[in-house]
Amino acid sequence: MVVEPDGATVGTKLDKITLQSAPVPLRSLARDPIWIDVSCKLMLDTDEGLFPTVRTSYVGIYLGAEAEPVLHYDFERGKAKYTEAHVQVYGRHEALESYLREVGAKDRLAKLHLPVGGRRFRPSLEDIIEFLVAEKMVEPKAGWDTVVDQERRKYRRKRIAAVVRRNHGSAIQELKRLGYTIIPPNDEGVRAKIAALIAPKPREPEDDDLAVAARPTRQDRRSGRRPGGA
Amino acid sequence: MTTAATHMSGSSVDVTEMNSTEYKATVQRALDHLRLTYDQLADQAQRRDFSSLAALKLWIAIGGERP
Repeated sequence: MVVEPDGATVGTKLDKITLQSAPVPLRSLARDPIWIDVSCKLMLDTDEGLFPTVRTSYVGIYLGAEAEPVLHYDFERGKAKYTEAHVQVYGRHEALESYLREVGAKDRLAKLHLPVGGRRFRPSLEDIIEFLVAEKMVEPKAGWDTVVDQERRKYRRKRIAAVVRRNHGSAIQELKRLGYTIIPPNDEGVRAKIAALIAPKPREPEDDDLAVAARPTRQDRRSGRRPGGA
Repeated sequence: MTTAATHMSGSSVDVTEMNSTEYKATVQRALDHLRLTYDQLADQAQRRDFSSLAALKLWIAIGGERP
């Protein structure tokens, strides 16, 4: 892990010189080794500066002695185009590749970004581990499912909290439907903070009360300035 | 820059702490290693077409940010 004033880079066998993570072996069920390579950049959230947030992440699955990539699952918060969370698969499909060439698109399956749920609903590392076990690609340790379930539950609770934090209108509507009485905060400071949290921003497709914050620069964060603000 | 082994969830993790200047120099070295400038890497990210897996992984490692 490399910690710097604005965040931290975490990765499997992270090289402090090149900032590159490296694959680590999983418990292969076949003769060929199978590997996982994980890295991410962590920062505090740009709205309140309270919550550790994944800014970008990478999970790669590789096979064989040369650790050839099979797939990787990437996340990039605030990516300018679709899709913040996606999977790229290193396979071949002749008909697809012929089609892509004909329409002038990227010409390989591996170059296609397959969307996987977006910022709030993207798969967790635990989902990838479960996939590898369920598809009989790795041999799990005893009790793996309990650990995966526990950790995934923690992850999803944080995702739910983030969804509620940024989508008060939808949360209030649903709670009211279930019979709750919602009392908005009276405090001016709290109301201003909430207004800032749900204020429309350039793009945030999965939050219907608002849109994504323009990507703040490191200078924005240090000065406490809103992205794009003076 | 300081490096220390920290224990997390029963595992030992190497933690290297850098100040802004050290981090900036590290990112520059990592870019040099790939023979890329930050602008070239950002352009690849914007086009969603990285020149190598290592380039994509560096973009991820720096959070897509100019140091």
